[in-house]
Amino acid sequence: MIWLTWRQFRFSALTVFGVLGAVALALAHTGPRLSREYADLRAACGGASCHPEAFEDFFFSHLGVYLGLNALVIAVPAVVGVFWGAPLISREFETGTQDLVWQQSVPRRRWLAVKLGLVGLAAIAAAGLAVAAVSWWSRPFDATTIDGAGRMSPVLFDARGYAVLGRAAFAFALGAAAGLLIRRTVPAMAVTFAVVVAVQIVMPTMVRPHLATPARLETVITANNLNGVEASGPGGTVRGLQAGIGPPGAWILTNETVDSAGRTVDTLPAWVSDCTTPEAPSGEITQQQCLQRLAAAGYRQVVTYHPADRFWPFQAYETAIFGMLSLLLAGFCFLRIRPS
Amino acid sequence: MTAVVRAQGLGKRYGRRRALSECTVDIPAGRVVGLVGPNGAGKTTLLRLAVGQLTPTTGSIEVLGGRPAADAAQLSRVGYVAQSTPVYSGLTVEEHLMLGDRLNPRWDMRIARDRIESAGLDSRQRAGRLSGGQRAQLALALAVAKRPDLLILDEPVSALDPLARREFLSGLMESAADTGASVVVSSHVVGDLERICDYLMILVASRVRLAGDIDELLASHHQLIGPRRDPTTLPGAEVITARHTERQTTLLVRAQRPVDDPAWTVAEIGLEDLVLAYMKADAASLSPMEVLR
Repeated sequence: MIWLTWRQFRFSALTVFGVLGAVALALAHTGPRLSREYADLRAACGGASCHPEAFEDFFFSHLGVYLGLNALVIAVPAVVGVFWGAPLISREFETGTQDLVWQQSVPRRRWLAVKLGLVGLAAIAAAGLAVAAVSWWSRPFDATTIDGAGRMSPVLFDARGYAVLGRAAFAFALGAAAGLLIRRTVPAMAVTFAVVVAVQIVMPTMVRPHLATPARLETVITANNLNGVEASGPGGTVRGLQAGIGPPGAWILTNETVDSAGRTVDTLPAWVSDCTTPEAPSGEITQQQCLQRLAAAGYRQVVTYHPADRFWPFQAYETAIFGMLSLLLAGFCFLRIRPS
Repeated sequence: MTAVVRAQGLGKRYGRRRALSECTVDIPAGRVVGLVGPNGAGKTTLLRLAVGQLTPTTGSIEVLGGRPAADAAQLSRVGYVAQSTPVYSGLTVEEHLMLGDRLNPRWDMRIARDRIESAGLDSRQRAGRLSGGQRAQLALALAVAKRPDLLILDEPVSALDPLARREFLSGLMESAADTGASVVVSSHVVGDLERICDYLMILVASRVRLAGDIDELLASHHQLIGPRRDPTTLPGAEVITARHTERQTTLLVRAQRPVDDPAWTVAEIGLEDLVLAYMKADAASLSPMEVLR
């Protein structure tokens, strides 16, 4: 059974691992040089002799590759789900070979156990290889990334840590279950892809924010923490303020202005537009007056966020969630594969 | 007579469509059994139930005394060639034999190689490049080299040209003789069955209409031609079909003893005519109610 599984799987296995292996080699080749560049930069800036935007320049000069690699990690679960999971059982039905293979002296469930076990482990290994190689290579950039794009941010969270392994197991099991249910390869692949993408969107928007109670920070708005004023239309209503508060690396969920009664405001008085950071130094007095008036009127800024140190607990939660879903889907396959 | 397949009130329904209903059969051991019947009689459903690719909706089926595909031991005792003679197009002939070797405890590589060789297959060739006849030969080799006690073939030759058909059937006969397995083969081509089977079973609308040793069946059925007569009854014989022209009546009767009424001219009947007669008789005798059901 192991021989047959390998024989049927080897082409798609070698394709995916070939690509990932090539990427990993390229990263292993370029990674040490980037680390040195970053170390030199830190050493120089420690002596306060560096350009103020040196770190940003370093980060943005490699932005394309950095984003591409993160996209690669995020894509691995979808790829193993669509190209390994979906055809696993559906292709047998499509070619009629279930009539051949399920008539050998191997009960269907044992056949399924070997198939799911071996190819599933390969799926997890592929995700592990991708996330390990990319995380290692990206260390200098993860350290210099712009505020709000750290590893707690929705996109980067999916490209770091061991939750990728759980996501790969889930996508693979989903593909296998879809194939068993639909019995045709291409539709099963399409359904798998659609569901994996949907989960990829639902998880950070609807599930992850609730994995723990968000931390809350309430503060007076000052010239230092004010990032911008949201206004609709030229000279129109002021909708709210954006403030740069919250600890570094945190995932900001909400950033709202509240009034003296603690209610979130939809509209701020028109004079608040004076609080914007002035273009000329002469405007600083106007801004100061505006901000004082804002504080006197009781307006404050509230942010809710998940601090950076929740990264690993959240990785654990998501891995557990995807692990459970994978087991449920595999269990479904074992029930469903009985002759009907 | 021990049965290799024993079905009791066996039925299979897909939603509201009945593929097989109230099927009760006993397929004897040690024979090469031909299973014939019109399309939709439930032949394929019956065979798929017997190999455990389907489970019954009603009734029960026992194969070699066990539940079909219940476990590895049961699976190893039954060889099956499906109607589409499926093989893995990406695997070579040799790799199919390795598959059989690794997946079957009773596998006999010598039997497999002999079959591949006598069928003239190149063991390095990918199965996807084989002709329909060669594919069927490979599927047969896989089923036979398991050394099953029962070999079930579902219209294995229906897609083959006459030459490939003949080669396949002779291959089947050799294998059956070599392994001593009981064989059940379904077909709608009676001529093929006549060459290889010694036992015939006619399935019409899920029911076994006729079953028996082919020689005995042929010996006990006669065609009678004589002057027109109504009603068509005959003492000591069962009339299967009656055909009338203005002056003449042709009967197909089943009788244990020869008919010695001088009014009739007695002729022997071929297997094909016999099968067709039973199928026709059933179609005619079913009441409208039964047909609707």
